[in-house]
Amino acid sequence: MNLETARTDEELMTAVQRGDSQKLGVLFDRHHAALFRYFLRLGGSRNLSEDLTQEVFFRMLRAGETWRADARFANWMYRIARNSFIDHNRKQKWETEMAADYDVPAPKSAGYEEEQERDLVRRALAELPPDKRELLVLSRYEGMKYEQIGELLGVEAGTIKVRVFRALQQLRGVYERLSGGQHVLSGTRG
Amino acid sequence: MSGYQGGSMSCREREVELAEYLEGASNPELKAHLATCAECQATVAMWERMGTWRDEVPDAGLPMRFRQRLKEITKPKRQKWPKWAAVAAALVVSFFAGRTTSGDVTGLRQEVRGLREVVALSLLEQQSASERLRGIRYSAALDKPDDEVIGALARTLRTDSSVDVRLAAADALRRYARTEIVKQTARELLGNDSSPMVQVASIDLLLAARERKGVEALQSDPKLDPTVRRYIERALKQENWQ
Repeated sequence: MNLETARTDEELMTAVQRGDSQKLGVLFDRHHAALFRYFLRLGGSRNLSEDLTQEVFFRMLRAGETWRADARFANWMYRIARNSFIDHNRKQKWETEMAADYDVPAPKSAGYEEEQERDLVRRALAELPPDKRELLVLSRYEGMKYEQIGELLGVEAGTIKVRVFRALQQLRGVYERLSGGQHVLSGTRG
Repeated sequence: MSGYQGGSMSCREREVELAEYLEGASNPELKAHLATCAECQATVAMWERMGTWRDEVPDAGLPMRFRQRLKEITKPKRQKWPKWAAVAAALVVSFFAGRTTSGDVTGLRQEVRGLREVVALSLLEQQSASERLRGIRYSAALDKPDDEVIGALARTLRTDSSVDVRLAAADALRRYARTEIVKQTARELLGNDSSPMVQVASIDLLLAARERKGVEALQSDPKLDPTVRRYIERALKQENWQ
């Protein structure tokens, strides 16, 4: 294990803040894939998600002085990511509709059925209001704890729990409608 | 609110517990509830279904592109003007220096055209896919681009890391389908490219160049993607009709 891989995100970011900007490359290696998926699941195309992912790290460089060494890096990073996403939306219409038609195909999964299933989930998520979609993306895909999401959004963890569950119920409703009334339990694996 | 089902807590009152269960908390009482409540079961199943949208990976070249940009951004600043800015400056200087004869105006026009081409080429080299797409749109808007621009578009079609960008380049090249470099690129991609979408774009280019034979020959390839095969059949039929 080399020295850099042993260092925490917080230590690396503090080094970046002190002028060692190349450490940002290490942080990028660690987190770019998760951020890319975050933007993708919020509705961005692959190209846009890659661009926004890079943008987050360049913003870290520009906003280095706002970093506090005692903060949690992941929260700070997602806060910047949210702002990049919001700013992009403000500047131009989010590419949600474009993504389905013009995007690069996602990496190949097993078979047709799985492909269909994934597409249904993707479309159902895209139909949710952005705040609910974001809650599900953070909790289900980004693996964030409710506590952490609450910290990020400035809301009590208990409120987040209720909101996540209600967003999930709404997602289920959309999913069942999109699948032509098929109940979500039918054909559930495992 | 009735609040209770068969003497136990209602589903609504269990929202917090259910959310915690999704996060992995163990709760035997809730498990017993789930065994009898189809509503809650279905919502929990939705959580599992979300897992079918597996992790997608960004382009493998992204970290390298990021590091290149990072290096450029953090390099000690020595004001470096882009090529097109230098041309623009030269134009302004020559204009104010009194070059106003008709011969000079023609020269100026040529230089402005040259400037646009330099801008297009510069955009095509950008790290960001959105910028490269802009470069393609810019190139496509050029009246009579020179060989360098067409060559850059062909190179983009052949090698760009983004399929979106490659397809946009193919569209922009349609007008120049009969030039040798475009035909050669399309032939090359038709045989070798792994993306069916790029193959289809290459077929369009070859048919636009009236290179029907190359497209027909491809039909005998047993490894041909079935979607591409169907596309060829349909495209050739349409060609006959025209």
